[in-house]
Amino acid sequence: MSVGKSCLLLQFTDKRFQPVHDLTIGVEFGARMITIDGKQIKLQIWDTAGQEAFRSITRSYYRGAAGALLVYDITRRETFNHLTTWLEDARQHSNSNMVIMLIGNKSDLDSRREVKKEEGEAFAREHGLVFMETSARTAANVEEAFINTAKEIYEKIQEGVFDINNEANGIKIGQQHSPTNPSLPGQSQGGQTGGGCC
Amino acid sequence: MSFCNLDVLTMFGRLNEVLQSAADVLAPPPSSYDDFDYHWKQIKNFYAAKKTKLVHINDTNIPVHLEQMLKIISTEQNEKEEHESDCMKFVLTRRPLDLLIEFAVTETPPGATGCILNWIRRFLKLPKPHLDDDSICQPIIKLIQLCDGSKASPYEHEEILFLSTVAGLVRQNPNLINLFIPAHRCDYLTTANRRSNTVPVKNPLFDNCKIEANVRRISIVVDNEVDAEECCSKTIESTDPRPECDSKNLEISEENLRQTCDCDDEDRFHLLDTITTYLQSADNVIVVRSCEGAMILTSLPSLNGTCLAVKSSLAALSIKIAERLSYLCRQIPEDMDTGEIEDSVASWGLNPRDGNVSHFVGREQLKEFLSWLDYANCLSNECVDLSTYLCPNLRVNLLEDVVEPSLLDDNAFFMLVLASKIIRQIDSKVFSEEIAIWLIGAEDDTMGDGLLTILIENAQENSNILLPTLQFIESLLDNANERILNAMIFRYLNDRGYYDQNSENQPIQTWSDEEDERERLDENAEGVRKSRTLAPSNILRIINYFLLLLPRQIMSEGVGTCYEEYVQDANRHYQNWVLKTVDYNWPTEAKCSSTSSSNSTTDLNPSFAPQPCSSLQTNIKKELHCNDSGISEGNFYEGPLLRLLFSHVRNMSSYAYELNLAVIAILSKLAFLPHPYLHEVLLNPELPISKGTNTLWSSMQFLARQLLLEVPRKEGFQKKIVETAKNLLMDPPLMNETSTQDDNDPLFEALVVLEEFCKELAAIAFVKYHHGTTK
Repeated sequence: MSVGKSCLLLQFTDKRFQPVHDLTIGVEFGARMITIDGKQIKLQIWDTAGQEAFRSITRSYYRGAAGALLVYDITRRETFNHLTTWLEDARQHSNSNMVIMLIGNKSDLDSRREVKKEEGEAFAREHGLVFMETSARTAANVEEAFINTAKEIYEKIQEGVFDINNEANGIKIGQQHSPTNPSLPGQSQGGQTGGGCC
Repeated sequence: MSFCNLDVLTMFGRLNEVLQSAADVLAPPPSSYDDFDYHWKQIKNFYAAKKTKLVHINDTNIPVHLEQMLKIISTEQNEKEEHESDCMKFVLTRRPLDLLIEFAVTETPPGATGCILNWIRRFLKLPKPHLDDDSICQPIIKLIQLCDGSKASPYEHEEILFLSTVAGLVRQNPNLINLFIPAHRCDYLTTANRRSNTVPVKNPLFDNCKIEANVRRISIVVDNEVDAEECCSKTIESTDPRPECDSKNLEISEENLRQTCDCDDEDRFHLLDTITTYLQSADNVIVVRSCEGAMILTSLPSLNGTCLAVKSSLAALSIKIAERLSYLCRQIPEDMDTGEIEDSVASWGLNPRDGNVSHFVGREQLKEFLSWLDYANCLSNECVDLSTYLCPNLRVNLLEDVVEPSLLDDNAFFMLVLASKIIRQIDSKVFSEEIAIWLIGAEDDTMGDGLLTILIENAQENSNILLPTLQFIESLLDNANERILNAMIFRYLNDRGYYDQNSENQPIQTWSDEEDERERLDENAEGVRKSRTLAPSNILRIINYFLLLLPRQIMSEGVGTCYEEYVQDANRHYQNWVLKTVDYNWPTEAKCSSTSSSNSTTDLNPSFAPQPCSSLQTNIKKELHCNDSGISEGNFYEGPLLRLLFSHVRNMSSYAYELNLAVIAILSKLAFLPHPYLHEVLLNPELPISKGTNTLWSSMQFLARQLLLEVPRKEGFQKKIVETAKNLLMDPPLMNETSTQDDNDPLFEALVVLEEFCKELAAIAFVKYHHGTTK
């Protein structure tokens, strides 16, 4: 019983939905090219195990991430209740500038909803996160969730919050298109992990 | 014709429907149990037909039947959440897995091993796989024995996925670890099964029984069942010192903690052993899966570090990793660009292949080494029991055998940079302590002669390796270890040999005594003691000393960073340092030990002496200890590091700019340390010092005098000062190579460095004062 992180990733990278997924034990990996502000950006996304038991592994992946999607299941209250501990874990082990987006997944199952949208919004407001409800099944908001996270990272790069010369921040500049303008990333890679709760 | 066919088919279709509904009336559709049985029979029939050697499994119906079996059982388990599914009962009683594993072991028909590995893996991901039932556990263990990453196998991928699934199950239910330690298995199975049937899980009767060592071997004998129960629950419940880990799954009782089991040296934790054979795979993804498996198993809260089986397996794993790292370290080409070593970022784990990265000599080897180092570090952070094996092994195999010889030969430059990188990469406390043992020895009392002292002294003699040595020292400060700091710096200062005791009758006595009164009040008011040494009342004079060291005529005012900006940065850094060093056993105040200041009567009697920290036993002990160190007054030795740094400051104008920067970077870091003796030596220009003693201030004065003598002799020196400052302080700095000759004269560069350094020191002194006087 998961919140659907692997499904979200599959929907984003392959544009398909697969209802039955193996439990993720360590991490899986996906990538997709997107365009922001006319620039080609390759998003590398780590899909981490949501089970508490595998935190020793997932922790290792927070370190190189520029952004994270923190996912809960709107039809299961306990996944929402777990958010705080996941958030603490992520903040503790990641770059302090890491962009975190809160995702309430399975919005297609509105009839079984246990967590109101307003509650998600309030949690996000309180902890300084961006919030969105998605459905990996119908693909609703899935593109937006990943791309908005990437945009936020991109803006932080523009503002100089991220040190793009330090690979440890999860951002890598590709070949420069215009050597006269070294401060703009020609092609950047924002590593993101999808955290979540089981 | 085709029309006709279609017609016939439709007709048959209808007929089929009719027949089916008739059949449904006569006999109900087969139950899932019958279905399951049917598919299993089909599989058995195939083997009974004995054509098994001829066809590949994918050309038979076996995969289809297996798939159906899994589907049926999964549907049933999902539907009947409360009751056990009939098909699972079938599996538990008629043990089809035994036979399947047999086929996997014998690879009949060809391809069976891979197919069955996959099937079992998916079977284990059922909602209730019943791994703790003998009928499941036995075949699984057999299948694990079949897996061996050190042998070439076409099913490597299937094997590691199967193994990590088993590891994952164990991690989710930590007690299952006992299934994979042979000596624990029998008891565990007995307990687990009886528990599920008759025995209450928490029965106080079972908590206090004593057991004989040999009871376990005969535990299935009915009379001893109670004891067997006890034995098992001990091995199961002996747990983890880290409370955050799944402790809810384990019934922890203080008495049961760390209870020894009776495994012997031959016993092993087989699952861990097997999973780590794949660390050697040529396939990187398989290596990562193997790493993950080892990590989730070693981070098990139920891992009992006193169990000999677990011990042997952890020891074997740590040797494997240490040898791997020492091998990889040897592979890094010594002629690679050391700048790449500093900039390289690598972490263990599933990483994508990188298409467009810069390629340089040694890149792959370096990345590989650093990723493994990161893994070793993460592992030792996750598992205390493992780190006690792993970290000493890393010291011996990697640091002593590979790094050390190079540090002392012609490759010192390269190896110093790599060693700095290693130190920066690790944050494991145990590993850090091993580095301390490597650099300064196991005992605190050994003065000098440690590797660290030798390295620093080598740099004093050989300016070629000065820069990487300074980087190395900086890494030791950035990733600080109390013992190393003490051996490198404090043990030379703690007897305050630099202090001129004859100056006591001067207006400012021990320069902090004047604040005794206020301090005593403060001490009563708040729990945390603030140091007077770090927050002297003459702070304004001290700041002015630094800011006015250079006469205005040779300053580049207005070009560099202003003092206030340094204060902001310094404040942030200092708070970090205070946090980092909060647990260190450092004295609070700089004061002369009672024997050496025996001329002062009040000091002899603690009840009269204004010593707020005399209540701290540790400090007193520390000082007594220092008195024994044998360094006599007037013969003060500041230690190899401070000697190197001070002498460099004195001669700054003859060194390259990068070296000067590296030196002041270290000095400013040291100046932040909230250690009273070091603080005096670095940040107190008013300190009365004994003859022949160098402090930072005296070295800076020496340099300033020299600059004042030589700079004004140069033609157009004022313009040159401003230009040099502009060149150096722009981002990125304009260095000798790019600017016209003679623009950046070392003399002027040293001047600019000194001017900025003065501001920084003033800011640090101010921040420390501020921190010491506010709550």
